[in-house]
Amino acid sequence: MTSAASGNVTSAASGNVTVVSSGGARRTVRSMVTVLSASFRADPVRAALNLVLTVTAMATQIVSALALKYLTDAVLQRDVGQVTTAAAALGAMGALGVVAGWGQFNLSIALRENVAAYLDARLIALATSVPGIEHHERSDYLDEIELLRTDREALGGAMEATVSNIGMATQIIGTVALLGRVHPLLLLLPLFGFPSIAAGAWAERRRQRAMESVAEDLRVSRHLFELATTAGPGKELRIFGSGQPVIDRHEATWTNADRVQDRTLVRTTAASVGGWLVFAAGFAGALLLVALRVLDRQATIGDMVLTVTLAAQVNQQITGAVGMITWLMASLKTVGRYLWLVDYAAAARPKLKGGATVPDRLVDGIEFHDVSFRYPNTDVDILRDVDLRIPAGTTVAVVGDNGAGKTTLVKLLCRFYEPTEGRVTVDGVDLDRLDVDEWRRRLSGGFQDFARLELLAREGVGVGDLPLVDDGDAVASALGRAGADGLAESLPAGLETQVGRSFVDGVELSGGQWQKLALGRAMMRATPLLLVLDEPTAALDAETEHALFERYAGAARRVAGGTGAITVLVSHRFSTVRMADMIVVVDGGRVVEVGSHDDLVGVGGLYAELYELQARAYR
Amino acid sequence: MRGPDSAVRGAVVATLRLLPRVSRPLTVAMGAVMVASALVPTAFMLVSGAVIGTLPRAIAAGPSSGAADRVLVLIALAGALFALQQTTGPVLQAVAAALGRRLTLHLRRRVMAASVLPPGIAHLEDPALLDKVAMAQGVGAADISPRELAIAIAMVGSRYLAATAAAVLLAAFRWWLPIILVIEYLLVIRTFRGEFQKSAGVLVGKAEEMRRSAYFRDAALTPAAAKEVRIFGLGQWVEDRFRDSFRTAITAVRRGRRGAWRLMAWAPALFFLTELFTFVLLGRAAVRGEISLGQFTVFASAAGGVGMFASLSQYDLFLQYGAPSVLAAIDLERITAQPHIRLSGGRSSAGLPVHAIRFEAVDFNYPGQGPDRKVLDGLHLEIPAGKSLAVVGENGAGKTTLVKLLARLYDPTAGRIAVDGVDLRDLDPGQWQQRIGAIFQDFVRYQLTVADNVGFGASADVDGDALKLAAARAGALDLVDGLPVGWDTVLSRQFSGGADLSGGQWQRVALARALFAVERGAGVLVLDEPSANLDVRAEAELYDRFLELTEGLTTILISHRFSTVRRADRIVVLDGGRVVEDGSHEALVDAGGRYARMFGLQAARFAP
Repeated sequence: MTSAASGNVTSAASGNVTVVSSGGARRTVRSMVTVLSASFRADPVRAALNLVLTVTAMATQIVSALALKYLTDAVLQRDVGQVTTAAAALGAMGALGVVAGWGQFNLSIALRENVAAYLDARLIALATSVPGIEHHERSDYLDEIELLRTDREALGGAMEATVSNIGMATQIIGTVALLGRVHPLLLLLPLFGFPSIAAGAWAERRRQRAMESVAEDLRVSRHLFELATTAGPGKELRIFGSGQPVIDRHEATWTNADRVQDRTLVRTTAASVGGWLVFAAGFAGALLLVALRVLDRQATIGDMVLTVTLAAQVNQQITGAVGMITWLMASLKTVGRYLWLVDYAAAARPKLKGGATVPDRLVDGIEFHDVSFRYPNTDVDILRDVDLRIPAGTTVAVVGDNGAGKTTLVKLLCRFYEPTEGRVTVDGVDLDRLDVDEWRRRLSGGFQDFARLELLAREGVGVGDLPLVDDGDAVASALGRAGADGLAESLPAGLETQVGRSFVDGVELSGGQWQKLALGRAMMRATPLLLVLDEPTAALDAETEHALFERYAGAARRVAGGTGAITVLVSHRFSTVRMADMIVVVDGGRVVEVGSHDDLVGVGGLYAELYELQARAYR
Repeated sequence: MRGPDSAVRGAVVATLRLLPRVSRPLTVAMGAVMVASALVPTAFMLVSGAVIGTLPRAIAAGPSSGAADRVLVLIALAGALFALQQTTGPVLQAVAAALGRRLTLHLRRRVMAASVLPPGIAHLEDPALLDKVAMAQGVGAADISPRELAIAIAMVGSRYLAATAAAVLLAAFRWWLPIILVIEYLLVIRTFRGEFQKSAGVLVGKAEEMRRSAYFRDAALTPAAAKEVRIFGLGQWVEDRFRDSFRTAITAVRRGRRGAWRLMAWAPALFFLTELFTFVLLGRAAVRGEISLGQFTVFASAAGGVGMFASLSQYDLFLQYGAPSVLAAIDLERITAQPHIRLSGGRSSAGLPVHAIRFEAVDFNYPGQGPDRKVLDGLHLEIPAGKSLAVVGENGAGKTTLVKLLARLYDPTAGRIAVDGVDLRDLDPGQWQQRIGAIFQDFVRYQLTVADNVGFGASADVDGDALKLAAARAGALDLVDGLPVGWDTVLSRQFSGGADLSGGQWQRVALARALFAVERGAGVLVLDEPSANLDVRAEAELYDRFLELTEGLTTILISHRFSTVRRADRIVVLDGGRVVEDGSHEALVDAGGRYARMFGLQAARFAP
């Protein structure tokens, strides 16, 4: 549930964010249309009913005011029959108001839930439809998506605020029409509400700016809170005695943010009080105008009652409108982020260059032609002029210092990014001419920063080949290939154990157990054309890694004759690296040496040096 | 068993009691504005009634009569009251928001203290307790923050006050009329809210399934699984699983809410009859001249005002879902104040150990896991002071657990750990922990400055030279000098001017932190996989300097890397929670056991 006064709308602090510009009427209209159409798509029946009931609930108030006027006039005319009729009308409106109001209240909760779920599903589809991972790595994009994720409830709120505003507009028109019947000048009354609405909008902008300026403080607070309340960091906080300092620091940053927000609060409150005083002046003027006309016998006392009631209603409506507009403005920022993701996902979908099909088997191999790469929005080449041929059926090890570009090489092969310059070919066909999903169906991989999927253990492995996710035997055999035969026995419910701490029945695994699940996942696909292993075994002991790779390489060689599959391994362990058919040494973004272990030791270059560094530990 | 209604009431009462402790001036201000926001509209009702009531006489007496002047004065008064009424709204919102932010901080402070001050960490792995931590932040079914709770109290409270004032006014007409109306409205609203609370209860019961749907959503939106989602083409699958979990969770919730709709069958009829009765009663009384026109107007508005007892807004929901956060924070404090979490021991550990730390027949299994899943099983181990000990073994052999027990993050399930013969349970836990400097496998990456990252915990006297020395010994000095603003650089790209470090660089910073603790007098150094993220060159540098780094310290090294392990004075091999081999590198290699086999295999790989 989101309130008008929701305080968690923060924005990216970094200046270079291109993402959300709150201004622009066109953008606002697009946002409102987006949320409205989303609610109709998510739940058309409830969305329509919600709109009808909102307008009905508001209409009953207008009719009630009219009935009250007739009641007053009837009292003055001592007409008991008309008193009863007017009272019945009031009762009917009361009852209808209850039905419409409560119905709408009840309905809107369910509607909001459904819209939230619908938009969540859209978010999932959007985020995962992007073939690359730039939006998961680039910090300003990360910020936007994170804000979208945490504030996404506001999307449902925007829908409600939009509907309420529509209802409100209907009601104001009705009220003003009635007031106009008493005296045309009263048509102007809503105009006195504009300063309030403007003050509300200004205040919301101020508030958002204040939230932006304290975003870093609040982020630190959240980070420190997280540290204090989770077990992993808890170890260090205790050993270093930094528990109290963390609490103190949290207090200081939070209080600092509080001060800024207090200042803004004083100013925005003053502005809205000012706006309301203008409206109050208009209200008093309206009463005066009608009173004078009543004294002149040009209007009835019932008209006076009507004016008091309606003017009070205009007040309610403007209060409501201010609240809703504030709410809408707060949520539109989130809708803006959503629309940004929609546009980003559409733009990121690869342009089809021409339908080449992914080969069944590799004959020739994979080749890098003058490939350079730099991350978008940066000015440092991570890879420079890489020329590399990996023959079909080979096992390749990539070595080099941290930051040399090993992982980037792997990312390009998986098409997480496209090269900035040059091209990668598969059996002579440009990689970017292959359908990215089809190419990935023939890939498999394990990574150093593998995902700890909190699913059933079987699913965590099985998703490596989705059609077989429910096939216990396939999963068991993949785990076997990953050298993790014993894993199932070590879990309380075997492969059907829920793993991870997020769920009540979840069992937390050790780092090594998680890694085995990730490796099993990488082994699920039986005949990939390319298997990448980017230090997936860093947490395993050297011997386990070695045995694993030996077993895998043996199997790969056996099937290589069939599919020409290539295995790319990134590792710091030269005991494993030396087994590879081909070793690629990367340094400063360039491939500096290529060859077999014996070749490279013979050359006496960087490889020989690094190898020697590690080897001397065993002498 | 208490019903859901009384549970919410209890939570609201607890919150009300807490507010003055959070900020007395703001609480008083909020109370005052609440009362004003209830009384001013009532006064407005009276004055506008007086206007209507005076009008007939004024009309009769003519425009320049005294009665007409009185009307104009009353209208001016009504305008002033109206203006006052308009200002109370925004002021009340503002005061409540300011108080609410302070309430949030107050609860956060208490939750943090309750979480972080107990010396052990077992409580932080208890899912029930973690649920309370989340709940105290308003994270849960509805994500209502304590700030919104304060606003809800202000709004709902002033609405009830205004409705009460209207009821008092109406009592002047027929004393029994407001009583009937209030009872009726409260009964209806109670039923309605009751239906909602029932469904909220269902939502809490189904929170697990809701959490699951959130898990799938986050899997798609956060970076953690980005590569796997793409490599394995999991997008659609994740979306489907999200939908399934959401549907399962929400279906149960909706079933619980159906009662609210049954209410629609009778509540409107009741309301129709009530209003008909009230207004006919009022109208006839006025026609008979029993009450004046002015009184009629006032009573009619008052009858409408009593209706506020039957209204329900989003603030009622905020109250209902938000109030439990306060109870959660209070509960959390109570739970973590228990002796088994606070851990006992008051003896000083200054300068310990002088001789040795001994594990004597130590058993350990993690809380919540069956006794058959022992991580340590009758472990005997002597760690002599001032020497280095390397612990090797397969994943899951109990290496990290051993260190956690040594640091008293947990107490053993059976057996004891003695420091110079004194049971660790008798030592002051906080003081003992300060004797230790450590780098863990999952070391903390503080999103703070490098200086904080190295010096955190030493806030009392962070002295630049000690920081530099620690950084230099950890090989992190060049790294710090290369940052945009040196020691003051925030280590997170999420901050303006912040910088990102690579895994290896982070590891050096964490090592510097451990060594800084040593600078400040920690005598026990724990190195849990200190080189896992380092590249070959950096690793070689570390093991070349291992002896220098650990000189004179009681060092416990956990590593898979023989290059570093062999430098330790003594090595133990752990298997199944006990020591199976024990000796120097040379002795173990000569003994030809498991260590020799592991080392030999690796060494063979490096044979020319």
